[in-house]
Amino acid sequence: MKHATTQRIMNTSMYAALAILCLITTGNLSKADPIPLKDQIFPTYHINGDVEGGFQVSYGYCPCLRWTVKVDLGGGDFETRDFLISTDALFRYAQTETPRMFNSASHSFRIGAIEALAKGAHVGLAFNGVTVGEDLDRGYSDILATGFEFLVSIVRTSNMSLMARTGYEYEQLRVNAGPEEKRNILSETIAFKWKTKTNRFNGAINATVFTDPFAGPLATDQIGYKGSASVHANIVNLKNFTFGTALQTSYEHDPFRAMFGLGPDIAVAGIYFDVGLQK
Amino acid sequence: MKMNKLLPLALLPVLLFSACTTQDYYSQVIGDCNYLQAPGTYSINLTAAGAPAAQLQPKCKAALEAILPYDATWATAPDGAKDKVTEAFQAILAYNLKLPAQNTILNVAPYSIPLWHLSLFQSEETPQKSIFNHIINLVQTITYNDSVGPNFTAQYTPKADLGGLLTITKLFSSQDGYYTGSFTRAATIIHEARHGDGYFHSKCPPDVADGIYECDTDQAGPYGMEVTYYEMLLQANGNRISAAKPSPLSDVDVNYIGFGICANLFYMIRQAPAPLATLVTTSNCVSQNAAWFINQEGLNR
Repeated sequence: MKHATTQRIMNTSMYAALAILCLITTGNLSKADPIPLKDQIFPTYHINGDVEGGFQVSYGYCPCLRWTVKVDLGGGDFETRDFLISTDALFRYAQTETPRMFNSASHSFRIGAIEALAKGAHVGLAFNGVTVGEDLDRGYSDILATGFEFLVSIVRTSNMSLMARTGYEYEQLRVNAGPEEKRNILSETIAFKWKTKTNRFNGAINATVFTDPFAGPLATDQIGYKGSASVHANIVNLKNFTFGTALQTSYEHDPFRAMFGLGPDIAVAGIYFDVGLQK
Repeated sequence: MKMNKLLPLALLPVLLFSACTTQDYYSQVIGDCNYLQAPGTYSINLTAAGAPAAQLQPKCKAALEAILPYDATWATAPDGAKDKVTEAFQAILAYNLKLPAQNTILNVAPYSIPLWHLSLFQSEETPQKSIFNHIINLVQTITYNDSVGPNFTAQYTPKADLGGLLTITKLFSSQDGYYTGSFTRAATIIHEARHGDGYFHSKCPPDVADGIYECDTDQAGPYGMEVTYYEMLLQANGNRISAAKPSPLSDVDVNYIGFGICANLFYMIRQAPAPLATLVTTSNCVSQNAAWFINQEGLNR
């Protein structure tokens, strides 16, 4: 049973990668004047790695204080004439710890998240990668999640972007070490990103509604919603090195949790410090 | 810049989180403290602290006082108050604990014991060793202070050096009046240690605790931790051991433990799995006697 699920996720991941590849290829072939392959694929690119540590307070599902650490590797963007391919991290490890660091409250690995946006058509695809992990604060273990999003770029300038993201996410997990639960989540997100000209400051605002239409009759109490906002400042901003700090806050209402007697409202605010290297 | 220069960054979390390890205090004292207290009764022989005298064997008392970080304030505490704290720690380490089948509470709502609690009670060879070591490692000072508040029995406060201060009030010793058992006090210490995991309370409804920040959103918090402890205590000790050997718990103990489960779920925990919330509300179990809890848990007495 578990093998079949893993196989399905691997197939799903492969289809997502193929879809992104097709989008890139189709876009490039449609141009009248041929461009050397080298210029099509790697005209400009950035690769970065980032380590972030911080402290957060949450309220609702877990009124808690937590240390956090996140390691992002293989982030960057590849811009061709027709496409912007980007990822915040091909590999992400995230962990939260109790104040005295005796116990890990959550840890997760995410591999392979990437998105491609067709610049002319203002549409794109995103693959959310595959996430595995455990979150004691939420009561979840054996987490396995993946998904896609269809992207529509509403506004895009050198300093800001506004995007609509329509997504599907598959998630399987155990709640309080109980039987395996499966979720098929459909979501609609409005995502806004901005940065100053020198990238001294940047930030993001996201708002999402989501539901699992396969969980039962569609009802108001099955619709979840979440929102987040962050502001990040690069205190030291050298060519290949940054040191920054960020304030982030998020809120989520997930009716799935109430089915298990867990607090459905999740609010988190934190201050984080990050060190980044990029090429 | 080559990518391999990024790799040391990946090691940072390992360095950050590998420095903190727990010490095994349990093994230092279990040899002197591995005994069960007399089954709980009602006693009218009160100490100056307002409670029956603690049941502490001298060797165990000495062993525990050697590891418990009592400060000088205990010199001002009423007679017997400090022993009541030590007695509660003895109960935590000496009584077996056992998870019920399918992690039920009051024999309903499978998988309703929070994952955090499972993790804490299963971190070492036995649940009692796990929780005892967890608590002792979180508490750097145990102090006596009666000015915390009129209704408080204990309080856990993180200190600036990331140490934990466990404050005990006069009410801690006398919270159960004439009851001789120490389990509710043991549960109070377990409750306070849950705060050491960085977990604090949320706001109560207006009709509970005057609406202050003294309740929990769901069972994962300190009150739920008490519920988990009580449930595991009943599972491991609530049954008759053999035809000739009765349960280590008296009916009075079962009644106090059962009341502890119900009162926390009814008043202090705002959200519980539906079957459990329904049972607690419809059965009015905060007013039930030992027979009701014995029947509900299916205990073999």
